[in-house]
Amino acid sequence: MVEIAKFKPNTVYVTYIAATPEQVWQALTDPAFTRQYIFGFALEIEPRVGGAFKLLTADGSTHVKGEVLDLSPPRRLSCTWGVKGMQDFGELPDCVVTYRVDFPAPGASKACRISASCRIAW
Amino acid sequence: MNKPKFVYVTYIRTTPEKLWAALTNPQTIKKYWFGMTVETDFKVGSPWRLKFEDGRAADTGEILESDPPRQLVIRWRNEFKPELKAEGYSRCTMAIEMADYYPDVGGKAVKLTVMHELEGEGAKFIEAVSGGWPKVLSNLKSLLETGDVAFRVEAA
Repeated sequence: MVEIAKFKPNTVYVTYIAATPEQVWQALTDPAFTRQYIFGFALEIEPRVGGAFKLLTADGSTHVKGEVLDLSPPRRLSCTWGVKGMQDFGELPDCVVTYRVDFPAPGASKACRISASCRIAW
Repeated sequence: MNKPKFVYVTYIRTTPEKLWAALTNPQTIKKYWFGMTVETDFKVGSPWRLKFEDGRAADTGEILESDPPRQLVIRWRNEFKPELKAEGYSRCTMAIEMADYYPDVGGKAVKLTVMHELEGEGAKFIEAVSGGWPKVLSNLKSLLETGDVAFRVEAA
């Protein structure tokens, strides 16, 4: 089991999109949708805590492999990320990537606030 | 210790010229900057002022660099919150360039980088702009790509 307390925030990105949280959740988790914006990469997720998480390249090889830590549609998705198949990243330990969807965003009744954070333990 | 600095990168489906126009046209700025207006001629050395709808100055400063459609640098001080004004002037750099994912993969987009740092010491001003910039720049991206901002105003 991943010791989440060991991981410290490294980067956080915040964006606001005029969409419903369900639309954002679909965009984050539906492989047909992710192929459209992650340059052909398909996200595959076993929808349960402890399930497998993968990001597959257009030719089907595994680019990122991890484990689901938190899955609370349509608000929160947290997974470990281990980058595979890239020489430069071969030695790095896993990081923890968390998406948080807040709706409505403060001050906007029709927009979601989406934060993506990456936490590392090294 | 490193000085606190805010850096935000976003990719927009537009042209550098249209993005430059959106960053410098007061009528467009008003649409994505929550009603704020800008007063300046965007020439190097000219005064710059960001105003609330009621006319009060929110921030003031001076244009340090203006290189359309590539780079705009503004010397910038908060005027309406004493604890932020006390931290003095900051420097805001807006840089525009064409970008791709990897060379020859996935087309091209316009990359906008906004970097904001204080000239002196302090953390409150950078903390404040770290909350504001993602909202303003999300609005700007949505406006250029869809014709409407992300923070849509309810129809009366």
